[in-house]
Order: sequence, then C-alpha cells, then structure tokens
Amino acid sequence: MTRRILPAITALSLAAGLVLAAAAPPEETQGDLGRLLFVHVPSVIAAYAALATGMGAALFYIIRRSPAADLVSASAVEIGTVFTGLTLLTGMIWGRPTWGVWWDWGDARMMSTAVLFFFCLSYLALRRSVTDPARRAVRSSALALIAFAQVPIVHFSVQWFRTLHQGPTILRPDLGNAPIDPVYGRTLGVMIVAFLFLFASLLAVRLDLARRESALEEQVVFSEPAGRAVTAPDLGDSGGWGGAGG
Amino acid sequence: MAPRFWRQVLWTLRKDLRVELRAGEALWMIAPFGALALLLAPLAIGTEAGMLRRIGPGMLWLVMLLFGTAITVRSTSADPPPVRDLLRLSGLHPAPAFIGRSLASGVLLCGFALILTPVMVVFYSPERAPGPADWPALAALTVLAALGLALLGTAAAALTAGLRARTALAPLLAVPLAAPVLLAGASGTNAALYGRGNIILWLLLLAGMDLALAIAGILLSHPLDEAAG
Repeated sequence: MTRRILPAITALSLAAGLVLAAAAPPEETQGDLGRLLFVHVPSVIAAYAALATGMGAALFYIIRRSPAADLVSASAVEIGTVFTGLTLLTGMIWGRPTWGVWWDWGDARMMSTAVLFFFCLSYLALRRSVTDPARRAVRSSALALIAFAQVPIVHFSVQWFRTLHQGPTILRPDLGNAPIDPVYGRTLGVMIVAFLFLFASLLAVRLDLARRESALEEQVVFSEPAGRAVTAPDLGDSGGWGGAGG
Repeated sequence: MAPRFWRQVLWTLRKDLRVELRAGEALWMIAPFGALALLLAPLAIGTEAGMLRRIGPGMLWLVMLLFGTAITVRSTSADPPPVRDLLRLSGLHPAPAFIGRSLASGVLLCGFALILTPVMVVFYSPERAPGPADWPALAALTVLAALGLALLGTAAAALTAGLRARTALAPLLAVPLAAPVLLAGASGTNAALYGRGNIILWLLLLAGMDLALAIAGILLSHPLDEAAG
C-alpha cells in the first residue's frame, strides 16, 4: 500500500510545486534566477532530514545492534549525499550570475556544505571498503556518530571564519515574520514538503534494494567456495614468459 | 576506576611513543616529507616574496593538517590482531587505549609542528616571525589543534584497521572533519601574530572540538575496538 501511495503523493506534490514555481512572478532583483531557490532550499532541507535520519539510525544501531537500522542509516546517508550534491550544484549555478563566480571562498555555508558532502563521500567509501556486514555496520555507524559530534563544530568554525551567504530566511525563530513574499513563501513551502516526500520515497526504494543486497550477500557467503568458480588463466602451452621459453 | 583509567592511558601513551621512537615513521619519514612540501609549494604557486610572506603561516597549517593526518594514521598507530588480543587479555580497556593513543599522536604532532615552524620561517619569511611574547598563545593553539587532529586521526585509524584501502581511506575520513583545525590554526596564528581577530575564540573552538571528540571517542571505544577485530 505504502509503496504505491508514497510515490503518488510525491509526484503530486512535486507537480503542484513546479506549477506554482512556474506561475510565481519573477523575483524583484534576481528575475527568473530566483526560481532556482525553489529547488536549492528544499534540497538542503531534504539533505539535513536525510543525514539526521542516517545519524539517528546509526545511534540506534550502536545501541540495539539492529541490522535494519544499519540499512536505514546507509540508505539515508546515500540519499543525503545526492541532496547535498544537488544543493551545492544549484548554489553554484545561482552564484555564478549573482556573485560573478561559481565558488565563493567568502561564503561560509557553501564551504560547510562542501565539507559535509566530502564527509558523506568518505562514509560511502568506508562502507564500500568493508566486506563483512557486521563490521561494516559497526564502523560506519561509529563514523556517523563521530561526524555527529563534529559537524556542528565544522559549521561554527566556517561561520566564524567569514560569511557572505544571506542569513536564514526560513529556518529562523520568528518564522511568521520571515522576509519573504507570500507567493514565494507558499511555493517554497509546497516544494519543501514535496522534497521531503521525495526523500521518503527514495528511502523506501533504497531500503528495499538494500534488503535485497543484504540477502544476496548472505547467499554468496553461504554458497559454494570460490574455488569452483575460478579457473586458472590460460598462459599458452609454453608457460613462463612464452615465446622461446619451454 | 579513575586512577586505573589514567594508568592505562599513560601506559598506552608510553608504549606508542616507544614504538615510534624505534620505528621513526613520524619524525624521520613524514616530517621531512612535510618540510619538502613547504619547499616545493612556492615552485607551484609563485615565488613572489610578498605573497609568500602572507601565505606562510597558512601553508604551515595546511601541511600540518594533511601530513599530520598521515602521522595519526601511521602504520604503528593500529595494532595487528595478535597484539590487540594480547592487550585485551592484559586487561587494557578500549577507552583509555583510545585516549592514550590519541595523546601519543598529539605529542608527535607537536614535535612535527616544532620541526616545521622554523622551516616555514626560513622559506617564507612571514611578515612577523614569532617572538617569545607570542609563544604562549601559539603553543596553546598548537597543542589544542594537535590534540583535535590526533583524536580524529586515531578514530579514523581504528575505523580503517585491517582494511586494504586503509592508507587512502583513513585520511579521507579524518580530513573533512578536521577543517576546524585548519581554520582555527591559520586564523588563530593571524590573531596572535598580527592582531587580526580574536585568538580566544579560536582556542575555545579547538577546546570544544577536543572535548566533543574525546567524549565521542570514549563512548564509541568499544564498538571501534570490536570493529577492528
């Protein structure tokens, strides 16, 4: 049931958000470029949701040693990597005409998002490097929790270093007085909800795939030894270095 | 519990430093390599004296971060499985072992900084070379930064123990999360030498980082030890 309803809600909310984004008037100072924020802001919120889910699941794994929690953690971080990459990409596309450069070293949030992206890549690299499922789960969960302790410090260090990025418009204590046009506010709200549904849908699909991968791994572990599947390479009749050898 | 904990910390610290003294991997191999990086960098980015004066302290911290990570994940920073089993049988607890190992790497990183600083002063002639009045602030900055990098590197070394891709993977795990070491080191040095910014802020940030990593390392020491095999 959920498998059908969730993608349907995601498709509907994304369609509604895109229609609203197309119908919204051009932004006063940025023109049509301002519409990019309807993808950029929801991407970063979906990335935060995905990484928070991943770290929460990692904590649950360390406490309860539930293999399902490890699969949730890995799947969520993988999706979070995609959303973080999308955030960086849309930010750079927006920054080029606005600031005149693809990458601005004065922007603290771009730098901390890039650091987060590289952390996600290192998490995925660690998972790829460990073949034993139990050890992979422990190592990657521990890494996620160390990052959980360190990411706020990375954020503050970069923030204190310098900042060019505009202050928060949406995620601020006085949400009711957010300095945003109501049309833009509504569109952004619908797109954020749509991206959160997109994250949930992707997580469901990735989790299903992860379960199948896990089952396959178990089959491989308990199947025949590799000896039967491996054949000696054919080095020719002479063996050795070939040619004149014998 | 507390005296036993610190006894085990000291024992691990002494053991790791003794192993390093005999192997010489950090100070005889990685440190000269770091000094070589400081020598070669101007050949790539230009030898204009004014620019080199400005970037000298920053280059020092960049080399500290990248080559310092190599020190924390050196081959002797993770014990092979038989040694780990022996240490477990001897009653060594993973938490003091983690802290002791981090402290040993921190000591080596401070030694690394002591070697690199005169090299940087000679090659880059910074706008103002550190004098005796700057030493307390710079020493505090170096010790806190070294400890933070050591804690991260020790965790990365434990996470990658026994893996074939360890030498490439461990720095990849540690370096993104070590960005505050670079920022605080470079900005703190600028604050101490040239009065640009507030050094206390950066010292507090590094102390906060060290504390958070030490707590995370102690809480995760069992899973890290278990994962290492």
